[in-house]
Amino acid sequence: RHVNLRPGGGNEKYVLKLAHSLDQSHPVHKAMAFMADTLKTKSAGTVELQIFPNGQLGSETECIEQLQRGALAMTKTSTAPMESFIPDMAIFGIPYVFRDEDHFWKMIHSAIGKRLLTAGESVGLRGLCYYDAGARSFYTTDRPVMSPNDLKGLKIRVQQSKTAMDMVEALGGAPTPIAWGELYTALQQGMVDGAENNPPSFFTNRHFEVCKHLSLDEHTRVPDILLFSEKVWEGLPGHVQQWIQEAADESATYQRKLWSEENEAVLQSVVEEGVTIHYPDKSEFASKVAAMHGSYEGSQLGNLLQQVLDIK
Amino acid sequence: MVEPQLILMIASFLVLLALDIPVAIAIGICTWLAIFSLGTVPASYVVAQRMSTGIASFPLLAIPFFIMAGILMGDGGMARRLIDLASVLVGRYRGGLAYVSTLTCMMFGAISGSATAAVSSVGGMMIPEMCRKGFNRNFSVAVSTTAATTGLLIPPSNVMIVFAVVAGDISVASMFMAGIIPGILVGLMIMLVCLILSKSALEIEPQDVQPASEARDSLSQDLTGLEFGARSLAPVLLGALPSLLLIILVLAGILGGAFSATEAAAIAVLYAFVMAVIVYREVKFSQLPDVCLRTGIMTSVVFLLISTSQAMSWALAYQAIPQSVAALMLSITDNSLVLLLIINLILLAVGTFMDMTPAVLIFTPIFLPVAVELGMHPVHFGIMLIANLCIGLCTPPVGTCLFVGCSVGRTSIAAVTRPMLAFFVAMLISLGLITYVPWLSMGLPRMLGLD
Amino acid sequence: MQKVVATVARLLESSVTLCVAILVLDVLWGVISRFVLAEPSRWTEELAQYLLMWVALLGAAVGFQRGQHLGLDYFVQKMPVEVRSLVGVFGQICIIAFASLAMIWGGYVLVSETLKSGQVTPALEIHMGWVYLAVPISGVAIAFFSFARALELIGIAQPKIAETNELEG
Ligand code: NA
Ligand code: NA
Repeated sequence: RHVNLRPGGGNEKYVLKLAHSLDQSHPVHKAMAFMADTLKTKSAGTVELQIFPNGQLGSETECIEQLQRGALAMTKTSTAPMESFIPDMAIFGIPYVFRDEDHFWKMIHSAIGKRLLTAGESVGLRGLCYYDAGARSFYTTDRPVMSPNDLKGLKIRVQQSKTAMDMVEALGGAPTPIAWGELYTALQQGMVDGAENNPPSFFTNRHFEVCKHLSLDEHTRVPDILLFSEKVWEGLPGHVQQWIQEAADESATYQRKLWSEENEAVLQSVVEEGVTIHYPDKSEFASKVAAMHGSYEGSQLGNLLQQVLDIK
Repeated sequence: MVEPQLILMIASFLVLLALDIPVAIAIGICTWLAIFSLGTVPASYVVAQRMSTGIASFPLLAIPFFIMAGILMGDGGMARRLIDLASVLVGRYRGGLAYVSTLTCMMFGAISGSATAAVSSVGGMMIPEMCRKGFNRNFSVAVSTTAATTGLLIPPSNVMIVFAVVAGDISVASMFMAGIIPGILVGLMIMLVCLILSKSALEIEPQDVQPASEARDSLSQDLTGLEFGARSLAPVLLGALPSLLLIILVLAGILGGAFSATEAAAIAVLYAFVMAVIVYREVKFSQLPDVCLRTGIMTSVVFLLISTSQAMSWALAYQAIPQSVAALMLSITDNSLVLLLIINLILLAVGTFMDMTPAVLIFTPIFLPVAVELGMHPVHFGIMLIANLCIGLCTPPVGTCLFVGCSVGRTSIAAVTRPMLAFFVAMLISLGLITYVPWLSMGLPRMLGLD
Repeated sequence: MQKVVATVARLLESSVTLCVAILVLDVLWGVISRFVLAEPSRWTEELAQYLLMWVALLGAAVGFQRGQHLGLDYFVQKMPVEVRSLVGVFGQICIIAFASLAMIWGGYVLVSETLKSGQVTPALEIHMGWVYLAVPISGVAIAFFSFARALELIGIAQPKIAETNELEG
């Protein structure tokens, strides 16, 4: 059926293929390798998780589509491309929804977080767990971003996401959609003046070589999600499903620890590479996006936004 | 371990290829069969998805633009002005027209993204002229055909864009910079062959002298009236300057950060449009829809290949074939000199019967991991791959450059193969240098901080 | 039949011409919006990618009608004429099979499932399913042209056999 079955000494063997677009040194990849080990132990070798890194089987969006048709069992995706499938996911892309890291994790563990994780079931996508992807901040080539005024006239690379473009615009910058692979050259050559991402991505993609200012304004917290194909899931026996869910949960705990270690280490490394880290006053940025928050009023996303803001 | 799907894929591909099924369709069918035989994956859906999303990529967008700029420049009189310049520069020497032909192919190749554009535009004018001056027809075709391939190493180059896209996080700009020195190297080696052969006078006996009338048919008035090497540099340089400026515009634009490779290509179209339609007036407004259509069709011939190859590379990756091949090769030996030699020999064999674009698309995912494992920079590997497959463009039975060269030179593949041999040797020596001297490729991008 | 082929081909050619023209203007507008207006356009890049998909797939169909997709005719050239036209017909059947399975059927699944999941493109916010429509449309055109070509090949083969019979008779 939709699972790769191989006869193996009477026991059925399940081979699950997991594709993602990150490098093998990334904490998320390491967490997946950890999950593969956990699954192997739990299942006494009957469930094998094959991981395909570096976008070998397609972009995040393409992998999501392959999950929907059952061509692929699992993928990791940022919540940003999920917006195209589940509009509520846009909540993570709205700037300053979360007061701080603590508020973010409260939301993830609340009923809302759980509901968003399972919201994709109607379109064939089962969320297994969230992975930490930290907070995204601006980094720029020439001058630091200390207040929204500093963003005026700056071309900032954003993801191909409407919320991301609205966000940069609301903060005063000029959003410029550029493919991630082209970004290093674009920054170096001054095609754009800066970009925004979490510190580990800033580091592993060596953007610190051209961007000497990292301004930790922490405008969004966009987590990663581990997705499972609903089609493949239905073909698995209950106990295998349980192993997978447990292994995913354990890998999430492991990944959160790895991530915070990585984040610390990376901030130190970029300073050693000559990057200045700035800590701008976030309240100035937050007040800039009040209008953007207001624009969602009355919509489904607006209600969700209010619910998240109300989490104490 | 050899997966049955892989055998099915290779066997069906070879059979379909031998039966003259279009290469793109052969790739598509064997991919579909391989995925279908897995039994667990909706084959039609996956092929359709990879075919469509695989070509919707911003870097690939530069290809139709460079094709269009090439058409506008060929129709718009730019190729002819480059011939004038080359003839002033190198035409006065013994065997001069052979150098003129090579240099013009290099210059035209430098402003268009494709080798076939160079053979058809430059070869179409140079080959009859060379014959008229007493060069052997087949020798003339051989010069133009091999020299045109330098256009794929000298930026802009469509196949480099294709490589950058399939290889993953590689910037088109660094590929472009890396190709400049190897491209010039190949060009100089070809001129060296011309020099040696013109001394021995082996190929240049006036055995195939064409009546002047025939040559005049396909020549512009300027060229027939031109005494090669006799004109002064200034006016000719002035005439060719706008064409040369385009090279600078494209390269400086990309390097200076004004635009991406794709946007540089769009600017090149605008520039070529202004020159061909407004300044030289050799292309009329009413011809523009036809230029668009030709661009669209030439683009789609390349893109259908990219499209089905994207499906094939998905099937290969899904079965973890590249990893198996890499492991197998590294288990034979871990001597990088030997492994690079093996890779080059395989690619040369591939190049004889497969066209460049599908070869790049199919073999990049398979060999790049091996090369990276050997400590080779992906950009260096890309230049080696392209330099290798450039030879394949001129070898029978399948070689696009060879086909176009023979058709504009009105000769047969069999006849042109013998005079081609000396040029193959020159290209092979260049390939060896490019493979084992990384500086040739990496020097410029490193200097510009692009690697 | 030939009239229908010509009409379909002309329709596709006009679409390709139009798409290429829009593509050029779109990317140039992207450059202008960044330099002259200093306000980078949000949608030019996305539109360009999808236009490229349409140009490539519709143009590919025109390419089949004009016989411009390269193959390896080395071995076929060495076969006797009757075998060659038989192989030619087989080639067209292969093209029809691929176009039907992967492009028409696969494309239909791609379009309908993507429409069902409601996926929209980030900048232009159009349904991704409509973008994918290029695949089945191109598939239908390719299958149609190959079908016409196969009939032509059979037609060429038949009178020749008749001719030789007459000569023998
Ligand atoms: Na070139
Ligand atoms: Na060849």
